Amino acid sequence: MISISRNGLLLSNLFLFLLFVLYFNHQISNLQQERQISYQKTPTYGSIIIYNRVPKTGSTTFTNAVAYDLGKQNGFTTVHLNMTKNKPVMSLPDQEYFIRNVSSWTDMQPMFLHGHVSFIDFTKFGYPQPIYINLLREPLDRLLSHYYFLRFGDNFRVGLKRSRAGNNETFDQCVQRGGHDCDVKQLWIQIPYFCGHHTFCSEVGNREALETAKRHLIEHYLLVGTSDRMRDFIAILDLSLPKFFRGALEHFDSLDETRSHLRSTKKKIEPSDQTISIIKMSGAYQLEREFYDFARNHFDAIFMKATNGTGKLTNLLRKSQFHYEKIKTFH
Amino acid sequence: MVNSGRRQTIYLLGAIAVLFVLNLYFVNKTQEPIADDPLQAYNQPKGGNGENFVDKKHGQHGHLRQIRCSADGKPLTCMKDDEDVYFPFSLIKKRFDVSGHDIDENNFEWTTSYARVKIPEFKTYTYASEFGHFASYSVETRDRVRCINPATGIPMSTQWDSTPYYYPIQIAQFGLQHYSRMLAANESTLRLVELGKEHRDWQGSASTVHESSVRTYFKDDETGVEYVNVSAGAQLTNAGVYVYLKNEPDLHVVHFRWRPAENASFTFLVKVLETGSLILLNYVQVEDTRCVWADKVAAGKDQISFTYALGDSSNEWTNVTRDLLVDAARAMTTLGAGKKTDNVIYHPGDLKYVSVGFRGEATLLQRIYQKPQAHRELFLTAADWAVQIQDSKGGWSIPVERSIAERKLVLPPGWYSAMAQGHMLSLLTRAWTVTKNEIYLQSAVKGMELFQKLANDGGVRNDFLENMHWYEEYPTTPGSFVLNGFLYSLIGLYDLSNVETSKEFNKTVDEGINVANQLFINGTRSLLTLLPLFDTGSGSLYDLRHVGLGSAPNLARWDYHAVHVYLIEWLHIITGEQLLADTAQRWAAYARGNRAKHN
Repeated sequence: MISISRNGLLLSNLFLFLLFVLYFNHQISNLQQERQISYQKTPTYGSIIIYNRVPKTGSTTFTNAVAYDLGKQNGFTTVHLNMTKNKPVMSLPDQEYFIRNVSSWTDMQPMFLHGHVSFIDFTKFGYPQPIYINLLREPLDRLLSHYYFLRFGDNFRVGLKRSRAGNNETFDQCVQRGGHDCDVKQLWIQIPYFCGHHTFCSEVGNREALETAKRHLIEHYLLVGTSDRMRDFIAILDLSLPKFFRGALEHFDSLDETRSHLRSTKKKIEPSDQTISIIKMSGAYQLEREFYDFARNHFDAIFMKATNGTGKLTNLLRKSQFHYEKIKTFH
Repeated sequence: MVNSGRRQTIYLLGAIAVLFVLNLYFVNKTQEPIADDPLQAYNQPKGGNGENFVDKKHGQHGHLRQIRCSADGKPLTCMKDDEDVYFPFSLIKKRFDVSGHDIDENNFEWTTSYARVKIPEFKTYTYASEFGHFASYSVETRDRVRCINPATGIPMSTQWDSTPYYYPIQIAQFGLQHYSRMLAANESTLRLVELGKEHRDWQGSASTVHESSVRTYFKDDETGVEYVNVSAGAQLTNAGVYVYLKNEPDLHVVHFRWRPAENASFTFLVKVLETGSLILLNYVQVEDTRCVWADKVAAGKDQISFTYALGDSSNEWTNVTRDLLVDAARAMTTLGAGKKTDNVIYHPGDLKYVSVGFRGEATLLQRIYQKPQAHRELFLTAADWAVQIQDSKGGWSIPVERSIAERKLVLPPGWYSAMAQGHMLSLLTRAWTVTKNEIYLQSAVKGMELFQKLANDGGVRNDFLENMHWYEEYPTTPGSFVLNGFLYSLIGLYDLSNVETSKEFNKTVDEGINVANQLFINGTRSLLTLLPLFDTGSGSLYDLRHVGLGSAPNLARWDYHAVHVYLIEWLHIITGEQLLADTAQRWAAYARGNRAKHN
């Protein structure tokens, strides 16, 4: 009795396994077909990405390890926008010229354009909006990184002498003295980058600027990640903008430590709790932090949805969660 | 494509082989008998799988099976073996008011009382002794204590009203707790660390907030006392002038002396080591009934800012003594929903002490002190508050309504309690012992007047069966005769009566001590007569409200039963009455499951 039922069970299970294997094979071949994407050189909507990178948010890693590396494979051009004197705001005529120029530069499209520039609204000039993406970093971490970067440089451009080289003042000492480089005004940067070209955007602690930045993030940015979750950011881009970023995650994962974290400031000294408290009490920090938290929550919600509610990269949904049916055509 | 296809097939075959082996294993496993379904045992009472229910420790005698049973008519499911029947512990727990818990997986413990019954450790007692076991009290960490009010140094309660108020019983206990700890404290807690000695210890805030922070130092040539004048932007976002604190876990009490102008405030910065978040405690000269609250400005969870209301500006020299662990914990507790589990308690080592900062216009003594405790100071703060706040009837009234027995007995706001009065006598007598300032004794004597008035007339006394004087914790009509509050009031009366009369004293004090003695004697007579009425044979009654209300008796919870035992033995030590010793012993045995014999 027992031996017969055991054999029966074994056989039926084996059969089920085989069925499963066949089904699995079928799915894999399906997926491979879905991955076949044709590229066109003709200009179409969605051919320009603007990454208006904020200094010291991991943007060098992202542009170099992703954009410049993938350009050849995925057939797009990467362009750096150099802003004169590092001023991120353009005059109105400059904006018009820039928008017209970039939009009609079809030879270079698809194009990945990156630079330290505030958000520019193409639609105001009657042009279609390009695809905006960006990365944000915790405001105080970003300021500390910037502060010590000016003094000690980084491992990316080793020979270059930075503007405050030779100045060994710590961030704590700077705050105590009331120095310029650690002034809370220096925190006011991520909001203006998103707020754009309005005058109030650059007014430190302006709540209207925060609200505008939030609105632009929601309405005009395809995806805004955070630098501490760059891999998650790249994974979502990989699937959401395949034309540019197909294979980006695989490429990013194949990089060694130095390439996947390209520039790291050579020396950082942790600030004291007193300094942290002083900075975090300031209005500029409070608003910048609110913006950062807003962006982080927004990204997290996108990531959760894309990972089937698990928040784990391994559960990233690679198959679309919709299909067509009840199709009735007349040709 | 062909190559990769072949390789895939090989991988798949390998996977199938592994899965086949796993399958074999699991199929074999399901063939084993299912061992832990008790219903199966119930359905096959004889033989079958019965041997799977052998009690592992005691061998074969188990044969435990499920049966139907009932408890006074209520149907239940029980277990039975060859020797006994087993009822669910949940039933026993409820029916017999006992507690039980798992010690580990294979051990379960049943204790009749969940409260540990303690007996006084002392053999003799005087008005100068530690107040019972109050050295182990911690009023400040109780969930119903909103704050230690920074204007008065006195705890405020939210027990019966969400707006914090002064509750005299709690305040007296706070004072007696610190007195007892002061006596129990050892040398190491007397350490004192001096801060701010050097000018460079007084740091200025950065101009990052567009505020200069000026400090000017000067010295009184006659006394040699050094001062510092602070002038800094008054907004809370300004760190102002700050002095770094010593980050030694034991040094959680900060003391300084200052004269604030109207816009002055001070701030402690501490860090919760477990979470890394910074806590700002701002003490601001405003009147606010909340005492302490979270500020709207916040930087995520990394930094939380609170304000303590310092009251209206005084512009006078004031001593400030704050316990950082207490103030941070009370502030953090306000973030919760008010449940017991939301109560935050910090112990030495939980916080890093960062700095104390001053802003606005203020003058300070240039020395700031950090120390492990301020028991003497807090004890005297409570006593001084008692003297100051005592009303014309000699009472310390309670400003919130109190209702008991499903609102059959209601005390409107402003009622007096013999327990509060008695506790205050204990506190004030001790304040006199420490300071020899007679003002405390005068206050205590005045505090006895309410003992001599009936509850009906606004006093705290009720008479049980006409001639048994009872000092009422809740002076209701009809009387409630709460035992523990009465016992505490007797101890208070004893403390004052115990002071030796002297010609040196003011006449009212001298006579008052004799009055205290008479009140104590009367009360003791009532205690010895009525105590047996509180004995249920298996525990004790909380009060005798049922006599006046004609209701069911009010059984004391085990923690109150434990309080009864402690206090009765304490009064035995005071009076030497054998009845009290016997009662304490018998009642202690009830907590271990003993019961009086029946007829």
